[in-house]
Amino acid sequence: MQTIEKSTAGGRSEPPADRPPAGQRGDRIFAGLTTGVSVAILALLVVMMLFLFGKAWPALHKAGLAFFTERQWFPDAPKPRFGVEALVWGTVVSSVLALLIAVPVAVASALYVTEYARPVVGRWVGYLVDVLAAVPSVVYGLWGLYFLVPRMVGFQRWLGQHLGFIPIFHNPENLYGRSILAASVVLALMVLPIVAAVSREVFRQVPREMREAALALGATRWETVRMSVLPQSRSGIIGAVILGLGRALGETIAVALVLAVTFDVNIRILRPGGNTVAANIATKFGEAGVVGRSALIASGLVLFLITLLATAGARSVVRRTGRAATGLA
Amino acid sequence: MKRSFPLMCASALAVALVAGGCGTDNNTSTPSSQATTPGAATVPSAGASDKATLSGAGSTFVATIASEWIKQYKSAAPGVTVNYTAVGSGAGIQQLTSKTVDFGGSDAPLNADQAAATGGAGNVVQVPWIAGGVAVEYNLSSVKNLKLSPATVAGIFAGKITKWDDAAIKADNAGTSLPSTGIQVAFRSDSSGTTQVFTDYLRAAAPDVWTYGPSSKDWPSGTPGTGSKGSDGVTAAVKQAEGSIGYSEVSYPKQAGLGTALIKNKGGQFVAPTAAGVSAALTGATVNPDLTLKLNYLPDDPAAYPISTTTYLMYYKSSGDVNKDAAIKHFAAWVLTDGQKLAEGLDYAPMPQSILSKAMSTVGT
Amino acid sequence: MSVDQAVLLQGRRLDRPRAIGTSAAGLAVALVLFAVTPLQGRADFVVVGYLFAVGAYLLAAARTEGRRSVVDRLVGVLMVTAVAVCLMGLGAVLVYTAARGVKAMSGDFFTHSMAGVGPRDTNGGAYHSILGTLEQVLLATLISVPTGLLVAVYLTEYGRGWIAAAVRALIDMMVGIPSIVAGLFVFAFWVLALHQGFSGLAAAIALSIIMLPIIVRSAEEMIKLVPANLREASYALGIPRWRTVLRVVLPTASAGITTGVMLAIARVTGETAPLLLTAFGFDSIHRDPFHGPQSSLPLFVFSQAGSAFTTAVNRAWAGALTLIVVVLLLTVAARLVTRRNRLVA
Repeated sequence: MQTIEKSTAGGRSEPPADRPPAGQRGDRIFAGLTTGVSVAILALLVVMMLFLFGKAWPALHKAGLAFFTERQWFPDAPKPRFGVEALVWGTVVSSVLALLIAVPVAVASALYVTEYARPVVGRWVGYLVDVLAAVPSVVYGLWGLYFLVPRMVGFQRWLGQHLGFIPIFHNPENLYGRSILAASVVLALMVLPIVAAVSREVFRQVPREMREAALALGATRWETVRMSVLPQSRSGIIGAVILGLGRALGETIAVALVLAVTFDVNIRILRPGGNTVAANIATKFGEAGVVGRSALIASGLVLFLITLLATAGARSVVRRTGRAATGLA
Repeated sequence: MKRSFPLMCASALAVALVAGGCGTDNNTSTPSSQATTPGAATVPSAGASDKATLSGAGSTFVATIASEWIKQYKSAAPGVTVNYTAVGSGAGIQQLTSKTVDFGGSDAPLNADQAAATGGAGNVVQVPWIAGGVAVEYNLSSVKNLKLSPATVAGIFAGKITKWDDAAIKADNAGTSLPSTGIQVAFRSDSSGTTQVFTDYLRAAAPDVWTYGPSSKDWPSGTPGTGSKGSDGVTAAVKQAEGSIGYSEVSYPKQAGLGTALIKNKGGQFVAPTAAGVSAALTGATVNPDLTLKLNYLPDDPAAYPISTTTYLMYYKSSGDVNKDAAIKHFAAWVLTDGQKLAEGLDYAPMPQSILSKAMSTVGT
Repeated sequence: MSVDQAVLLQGRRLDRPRAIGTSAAGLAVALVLFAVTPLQGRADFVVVGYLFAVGAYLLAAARTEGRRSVVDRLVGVLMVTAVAVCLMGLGAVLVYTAARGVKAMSGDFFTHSMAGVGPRDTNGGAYHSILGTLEQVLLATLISVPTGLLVAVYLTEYGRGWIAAAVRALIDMMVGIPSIVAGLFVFAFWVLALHQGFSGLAAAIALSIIMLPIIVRSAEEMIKLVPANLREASYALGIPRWRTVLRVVLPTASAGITTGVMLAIARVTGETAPLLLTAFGFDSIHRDPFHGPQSSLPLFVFSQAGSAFTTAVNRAWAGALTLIVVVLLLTVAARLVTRRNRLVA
């Protein structure tokens, strides 16, 4: 089977204008079909978004600005009190912590695959790390709850007792278990393959000449990486990190299973308890009344907004990488 | 693509086979632990529908016996498939109001607002269908038969008592050595009838320690501990960490192998959450004309378990589907007669006969 | 010329036997330390032993090769450690799930539902959930694949101006949607406002919201890779555009599109959050995906997982293993299809 030459790949070629009328009619129908479907999807999603905003409005109106400062969640009580402060805090803290754990490991493994390992070994390591991405989040939650949490109690106790003077490890009640730290470790496992895969692509984009130039100057492998690969890849890595952040922000089920629920705002990651926007929606939607549903939808929109900003940021940063790379070459 | 085509066909075939139906709903291979005893009033199966599907949702309190009822009911009405999802009393009421389920289970009756949301108080049939005890479950490997007085329980759950060797707990358990581990409290994170009953009890029995109010299905904020979803979530949380304490319907800790505390009642006796204790407590309850019960958390009976409650079945009088209406009526009647016999084996208490006959006439058989 | 540079140029290197020897020596020191001093614990030993072995290795490198080499080797060690951590994590997840899942599996698990299974019963299985997942994923695929292909064709062949830009922006936005928000969309709109209630179809709609951008993106990439000369040859023969797209462009891109579709299917098979709000769950076999709540495998695992009863948790593990195997098979199959893709290097 002969391979297709990529002579002029991509690009849109237009058919000649003087084609038979039957062809023109068929083209018109097909064009209409594709355009129609696309516009329909566009319209449908816009309608859904507007609809969601409409559904979220009663709760936002009722709570006012307190929606962003209130920590408790009692939307259907006679005197409703509800707000996303604790939820957003938990979401952000667990995601940032997950990134702090996962990004160094992911970038290091990506560097290993592209720079240090033999090609065969590198390819297989890449495959295996990608398998981490295929594991469903409910399995991560189940594994986190029954395998990781019991085994992390000892480590958390050590941290609390020996490093307890640092505010984030401060845990005077000495109770350990389903804490934000445990949930963040599980999230880190889920974020790791995304960051690693994108980092691998970013490192592969670095032109070979740059590496060879460094090696010719007598640099060690690390110095080569440090001088030629990393500076070019900086914005790409940032893009990868933000993609990972998007994943962590939206994760629902693993957090719902691993994290015990409390509604407070503190930095003490060893204390059992916490909550995220997504886990709150998953657990509360069934019992929510009219105001409750509206409040949950509003919190979902807040989460969606945060995720949108993160991914939009990633895209603009990655686009800048593309321009920078070609500029340098 | 040619080589993978037979593979794809094979997998499609496998999928079709599975979908085609080599599965079964028949899970009665394990012999049931309770055989129906002859003699007492039985609902004739001739009244059952030929084919109907009933879906219900609600209280986790009743979930254990509800599963048993559903299992046994299959023999009384083979054509009817009943399903009950335990999502909490609050969610059950919500689902019923939105008409996404056919019947709901709740540990507390509908209040005025909720009744109005269902279209008026007459629209929904509400009957108490079983009673049970809310157990205070704990995880302490060294202590069997923990005794707790109401003030101590309130103190633990309010966060005033934080260690197991606190003086108050020691006073309740003279002669037992208690470890100095910290107490991890587990409460319900979801809207729960069990929470409502438990907090109502604490407010009634230890009002100077438990100052949170008013009566609500949501656990109050400002207390220590972590929330979990459902009675089984709380039980799992208690089981997971040594030194934990929580509250849930008694079958859950029993199943999980956790200890349940003996609670001091008004008479000064430390009583376990058994069927006898619950029945004794029920005798002190006031029955309202609409068949809701006002529970007395300070019962005089010395054998009474104070944290007892009934739980209610709710369904629409007419749902628009005649077949469904008949099916649910038959199911309700079966639960109120044959179903009560299964109670004691699962640590629930059957409803007193006086209430049962009134309930049967409400259901309309 | 500094000493370091001189050393490297002269090529004195730490050969492998000496490297291994010094690491082993470091490990031995740690062993002795643990035997003699009150230091205890397997985890502690792993950490300390590792630090000592690496320390000894780096010390030997410093002695023979100089500072720059030490830094290089240190970084190398860190990389390998990172990879080891990844693989250990993966191993822990897969092996533990397999171990606990296999123990709980049985023929009954695949052929029975949870109808009438009490909390104390050990029987019961996930047939109804597996069926539900199959139906919901199939419906989602049927909804999203044709739609996704049409949108991709629109974006690559016909799209012009602000509509195309808007559609592209929308697809980009949908990629980042948290799955719970997709579920919320369908819950608020389809289940409640349109009074359709919980159903497998509602779940399928939520899943297709997640699948659509993945399919559009990968199809778009693949279609763009089809060489222009193929299209031009087709046009030169007088074949109209729509026929070119259907008979030339799409078949050429089919391997890549299939990969994208299979990866999207693998992704949504494991999704739980949107199903909580749309399919709701059901204990008995429910073959009709258009009316009434239905179970699905991730929902099954989630609901059994939070329970306190070991019987339920065992079932959760069996379900989790089934789910992992299915998703992994799909992912591996997708990768095998990629090999057949003539458009990508």
